[in-house]
Amino acid sequence: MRIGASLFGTRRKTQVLELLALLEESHALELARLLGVTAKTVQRIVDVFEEQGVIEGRTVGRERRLTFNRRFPAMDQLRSLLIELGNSDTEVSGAANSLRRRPRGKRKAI
Amino acid sequence: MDAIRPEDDLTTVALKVATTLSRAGVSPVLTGGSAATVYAPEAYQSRDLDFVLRSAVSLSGPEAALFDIGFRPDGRVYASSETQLTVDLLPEGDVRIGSDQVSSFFEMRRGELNLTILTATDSVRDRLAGFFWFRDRGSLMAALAVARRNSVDLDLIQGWAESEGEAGRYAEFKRLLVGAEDQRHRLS
Repeated sequence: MRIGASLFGTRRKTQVLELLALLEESHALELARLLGVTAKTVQRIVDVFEEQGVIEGRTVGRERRLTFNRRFPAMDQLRSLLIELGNSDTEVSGAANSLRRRPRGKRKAI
Repeated sequence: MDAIRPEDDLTTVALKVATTLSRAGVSPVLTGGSAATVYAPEAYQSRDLDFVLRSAVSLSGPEAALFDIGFRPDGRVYASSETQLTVDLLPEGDVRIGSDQVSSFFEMRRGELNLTILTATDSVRDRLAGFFWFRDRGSLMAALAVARRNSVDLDLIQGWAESEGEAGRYAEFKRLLVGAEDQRHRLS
């Protein structure tokens, strides 16, 4: 197993945080789809970190958008660490890189 | 006339389309993901040829030229039965990356064919723009692919990133670029 893979409790918890750090903003369903796990699994993990003040959510339309909590102490350092870990985890970086976020031109194929 | 053939790769199709458009009197510049593919074909594959037209006032002339080499309108883009690649004409006049107007390009020549394309440095900036403004990590990977395989002006890119308020995301790009270089040196 990669060094630091379970740094935040379990491999899956660490991956959820790493992926959110790479994407900067996401929602539980998107994280679950990208990691190939159930939304319930991700939601449980998100709930834990939201309760600890690491993650914060805000409702936009029907989605609960997740970001890191800027008021969390040493947030910049934590995000930097998670970005480094995420980039070194091929599963997480591959998932983040596969998500297209640039808008496509009208009527261009997706 | 330079007919498109099924075996043509993206660079060859771009050369043929650009030469055809230039002969029709417009000044096309290849930009976007397709420019990145020209610089890093093994690492990044685009399916669209995005040409910014620097001198076109109407699309009717360029459209007729594309028709001659088998491209027909398909929605907003142009498609051909000979290739999976589509052509998009962007009659924008200026080539811009963020707030910078780009005025110098790379001229690629192959026999009678000519292609004006973003420089490798500007192709990196163009892809980084997608990462900076849309958090699109696929764009970051394309920028890294171009930077790893070509000589690019990192000082210029850093200065531009800082002027766009993106020093933090540039730092991540640089870390990944340097990390890959270190790894390559360790393995060699």
